Parts: sequence; structure tokens; C-alpha cells
Amino acid sequence: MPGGVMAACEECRALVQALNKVTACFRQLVMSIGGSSDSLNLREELRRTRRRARELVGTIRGRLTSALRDGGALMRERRADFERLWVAFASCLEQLEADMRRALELARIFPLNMPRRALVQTGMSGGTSGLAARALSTHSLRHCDASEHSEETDLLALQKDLIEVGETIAEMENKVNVPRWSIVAIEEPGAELRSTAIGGGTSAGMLNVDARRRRTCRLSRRLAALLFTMIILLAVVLSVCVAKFA
Amino acid sequence: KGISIHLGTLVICNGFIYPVSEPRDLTLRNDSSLYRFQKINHQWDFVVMQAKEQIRAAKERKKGDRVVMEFQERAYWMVHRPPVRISLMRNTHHHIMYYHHALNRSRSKSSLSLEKLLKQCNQYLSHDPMLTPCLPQNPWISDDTFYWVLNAPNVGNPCRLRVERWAFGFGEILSDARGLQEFHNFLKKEFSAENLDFWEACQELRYGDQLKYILWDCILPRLYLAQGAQKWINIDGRTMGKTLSGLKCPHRYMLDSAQAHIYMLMKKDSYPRYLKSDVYKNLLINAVVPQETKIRFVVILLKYMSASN
Repeated sequence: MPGGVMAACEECRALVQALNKVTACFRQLVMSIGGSSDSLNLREELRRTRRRARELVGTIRGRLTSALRDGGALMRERRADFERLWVAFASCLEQLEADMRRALELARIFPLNMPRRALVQTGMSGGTSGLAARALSTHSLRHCDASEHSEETDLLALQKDLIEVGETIAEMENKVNVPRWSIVAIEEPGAELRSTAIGGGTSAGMLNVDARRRRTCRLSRRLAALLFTMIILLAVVLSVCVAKFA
Repeated sequence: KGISIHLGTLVICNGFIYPVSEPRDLTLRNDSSLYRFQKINHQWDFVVMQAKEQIRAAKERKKGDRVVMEFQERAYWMVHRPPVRISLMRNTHHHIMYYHHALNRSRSKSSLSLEKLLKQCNQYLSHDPMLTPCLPQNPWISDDTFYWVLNAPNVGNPCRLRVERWAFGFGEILSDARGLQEFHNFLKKEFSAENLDFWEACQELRYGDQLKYILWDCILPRLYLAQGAQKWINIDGRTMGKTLSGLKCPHRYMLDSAQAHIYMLMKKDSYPRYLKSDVYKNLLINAVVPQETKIRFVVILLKYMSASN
């Protein structure tokens, strides 16, 4: 039985991580609404990301609830793991809800159809399909049914989803008794600053790392060129020598 | 003791503190068990995980877009940054003056302040329904609304506690509708009701709606401030000059200094006289002292039974 529990736990963890990824991508997508890179494609991507998030939420909710409620079969530390996942899931939901609310607000301010309002010239030009593809874990997106959904129905659906997420949060509070305050995080606060596994803490750090990498790259290319010319010179000198002494 | 334990349990239930040994049991115990303040430690894993994922997701954008996003973020934090202290080097003179003032400021001893606090607590002890059971019945416990009837804003014969409270401070009588009425009647007898009228009009101007404010701002000065006005109030020349110069560009708070002046005048002069007057003493004697009514357990029991049915 413990093996089964462990497998279930790992599965749940993978699902929560997937939801975390989708949530992050959704936030990044929401940032582009109303900016110069806003388009019907973006709205479509938002819709798909949202749908994916909804599927994930449904699955995780069922599994976590059943796991935490049947209590007896779970071993003590496994229960702690599940509770940790539960907190991560709840936090994801909260963020998702906030982002959806923001998306709804922005989409109402900047409708893309008939009475079109000028978008804010943020200077962003690139598409966001990479983000959406990341969220949906596929390599390419085909925008085939973009025109099928009118904007109003999309807004209504978003509103409905928003209510659903809110209901899920409330339901989870009621169904499972997990005292959040008693859960201790695995990572110490500040530990992520010491580790350099992920390039820099902020986006600024990220850019700096890029620049540094490019500089070292240029230097190594020059060194290689120098070495190459030296070898050729040596070869020429040697051949001349051989020709003279022969 | 029972009440304090109940209060503590409420504090725990609202999540401000939680028991360390048994985090699931949200009750306050009367022993040496430990409690800890709430923190966000439980969410930390999520914060780190989400931040990493955000960085990874942001890499999907084009390079130029990433730069734009970064500048947007910086601009956001520039606009929303916490207030910065003015650097000491630039306004040294200003600072020196400030510290001089601070040094010369009269300070009250903590023992005196504590004594005052204690005195105030004792004074208000019997007026706090959380600490002293209120008479005749606490409506939240017994469903008996007689308490509210007795303490209605403009009741004919107010309760004794309420009348006693008016003597605590000038603010108390002004904040009570019935007290205000009594005080107004008293001032009328003394022919100085226009001061209170002016004060009330100023309150209206400060907190009333915009439309009223437009009306007030032409009526008020003519009614109270102009020479030989109908209800002319007596304020000193400096405050008058300040107020009249403020009238040139009318706004909500233009009469503040005049209002403060009148307030102090009433507090120092009319209010002590009112407290010593026969009107107040008679009111205090004739005040209602409600008797405690017994909780009718049978009634409550019947109510619960009907509710459960």
C-alpha cells in the first residue's frame, strides 16, 4: 500500500507542477492584454490556457480531496507531503483567480471588435505563441477556430470560469481540514538567492547573465582565430624550410 | 476569566495566532501551552516555485519584449516605491531645527500617561458592554430589543449611564444626539446658541455632500461672519482675518480655524457651566436606571426548539 500512496503523491506533485507552469504562463499572457502586441491570437491563446488550467484544477482537486480525506491508509509523512501540495494548489488557485479577474477587467477595457479602442503602445512587438505553447506543452499552435467565438461569449465564459475557481477555493476550504499555518516550507527563505542553479533571481539578472555569456563567447572566438593563424604560419615556415634543405 | 478565554479563542479562530503543540485544535487553554503568531511560511515553497516558473516562461518572449517588460517593471516600482527620506546632507539646517524642537518639547512621563490610561479605563469600565453586562438586557444574547428602545438617539428621558457619560468630556456630549439637543437648549437660555449652530454648520460643511457645500459656502459667511450678521459669532481678529482670506477661494475646510476657535470657546466656557447647571443635575436625577430583567430560559429554549423544527 505505501508504494501506491507514494506513486499517487508523485503523480499529484507532477500535476501541481504542471498547474504552476500554466499559471505562470497565464500571468505572462495577461500582461500583454491591451498592449501593442494584443491580438485575436492572444485572446485565443488565453482561452486555451484557461481551459487547460481548468482541466488541471478539476483533476487535482479530485485527487487531493480523496487522498486527504481517506486519512487512515496514509502514512504520517505522506500526509505532510499531501498537505504541502494542497497549500501549493490553493496558492495557485488564488493567483489564477486574481489573474483571471485582471484579464476580465482588461478585456472589457480593450475590446478588439467593432468600436475599437486604441491599444497602449508599450513597444512590445513579438507574439506570445511561445508562452501559450509552453503552457499547453505542445510545440506549435494552430489558430483555426479563433473566429468561431465572439468576444462577448468569451467574456461570459471567463466570468463563469472565474466564479468556478472561486467556488473551488471555497469548497476546498470546507471539505478538507488542512491547517495551513502548521505547514512548514521545505525551502528556507532566502535559500534561492544562494543557489545559482537558475540564472539570476530577477529578470534584470537574467539579462546580465545573457550579456556576460555573449562577451565570453566573443573572446573565445578571437582566441580560436589567433591559434588557427599561428598554426598556418608554422606550417608555411616548415614547408619553406623543407623545400630549402631538400 | 471565562470571558477572557472566550476572547482568546476568538483571536485564535480568526487566525492571528495558533497553538504550537496541537495546530488542529483551535482553542485557548488555560495552561502553559505555547502559541505562535501567524506567518506566511507555508506559502514559501509556492512563491519560489512560481517565481522560477515565471522566469522560465518569460524566456519564451522575444529579447526586445523582455527588455520592455523589465523597464515596465522598473517604472512600476519607481512609481510605487515607498516614500524616501529626505537626505540629511541637503536639509541639515532643517534637521537641526527639527531636533531642537524635539529636545525642547515637553514630554509626559510614562507613569503619568499610564495613570491617565488607567483612569480612563476605570471611567469607561461600566460603559463597555463587553466588560460589564449592560442593563436591562444585552440584546445580542437575549433577543430583547428593549435596550435599544431605551437608548434611541432622541429618547425623551435618557438613561443614567448615558447622562453620566456626557460629563466625561466635551466630545462625548457633542457626539450624542440627545446630549447635543440638551446642550443646545441650555445655550439658548444663555443667548449663545449661535456658537453651537456655527459649529454644527461647519461639521455639515466638512462632511456633507457636494451640493450642500456649494449652498453653504455662500450662506455661512453671511449668516455668521459678516459684521452685524443675524447670528454673528465672536471670534478674535487673527482667526477672523485668516478665515476671511480663506473665503476668497472657498473649499470644504475653509472654516476650520474658526471652528476650532469656537469649539475651544464652548469647551472652556459654556460646557463647564452646563455641567454645573441645575438643568444637567435635574436630568441626572430624573434619568432612567433600567432594572435587570431575568433571562427567560423557557422562552429561549422554546425559540431554539422551534428553530430546530
